[in-house]
Amino acid sequence: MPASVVTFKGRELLAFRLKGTPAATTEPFCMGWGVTPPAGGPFTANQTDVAPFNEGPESRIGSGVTTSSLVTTATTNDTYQVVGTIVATGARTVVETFLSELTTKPTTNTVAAAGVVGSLSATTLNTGTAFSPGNGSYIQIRTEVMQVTAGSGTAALTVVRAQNGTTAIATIAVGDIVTLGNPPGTGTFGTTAGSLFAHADHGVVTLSTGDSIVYSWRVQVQS
Amino acid sequence: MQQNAKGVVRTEVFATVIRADGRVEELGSIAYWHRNPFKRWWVRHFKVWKGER
Repeated sequence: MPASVVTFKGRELLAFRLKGTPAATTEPFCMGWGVTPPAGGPFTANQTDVAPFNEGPESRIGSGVTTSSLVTTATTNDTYQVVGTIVATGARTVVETFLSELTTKPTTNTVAAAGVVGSLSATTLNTGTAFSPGNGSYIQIRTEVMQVTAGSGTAALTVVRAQNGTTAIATIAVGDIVTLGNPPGTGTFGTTAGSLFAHADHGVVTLSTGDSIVYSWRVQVQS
Repeated sequence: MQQNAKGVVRTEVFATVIRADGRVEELGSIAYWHRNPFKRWWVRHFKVWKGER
């Protein structure tokens, strides 16, 4: 069955919320979805993910649109629930959903020839257009997370492979989607506004314009 | 194998599709994880047996 996981960053957000600091840490009730399985996919959601695999063009929904609450599964109020409805603005093949603490969408790009394409060790990422994630930021291609160490603002970035507990993959191909996100340890939000709290892949749901999905996320906790 | 935060027992996502013409399609549980691997195994196979996956 498809997986739904709280990410490594999600663990940090939980700890932030318990500690009460950083004060800017907000509730991760913003919701989005991912569409059209990327090449090589569909991929399974994993705790190492820092971003959805292929976020849809619809805006993320947040305050006033999603509804969060505490519900009871085993003991009173032991489950965090977020319910929200996303409406398709065009024909969509939806295959993933996620929760984050901001509705801001990070910028994305695509992989261009050479560099990391088909390589486990190459440290140059060529992108389709100039890409400015910021040096020091983290990106995800398929299931691998990398850190950008130089070249932000160009179409040839220097990366450190296999970050945030992921392993290097040799299947990266031209046209793969480059997404941006935060692993834990990168401050409240890291270099990218909006961190991935939880991520789920699911079976294909085919939608037409105006169709919608009501997602109900439930995260049950126990010490 | 996916793992989850240590304090998290279960994460699950339910979904309902609402078509533009008003038709409603209950998809039920579409993604699931439980800390107990036997529970994960049971749910995965139970849903296959029920024809939901």
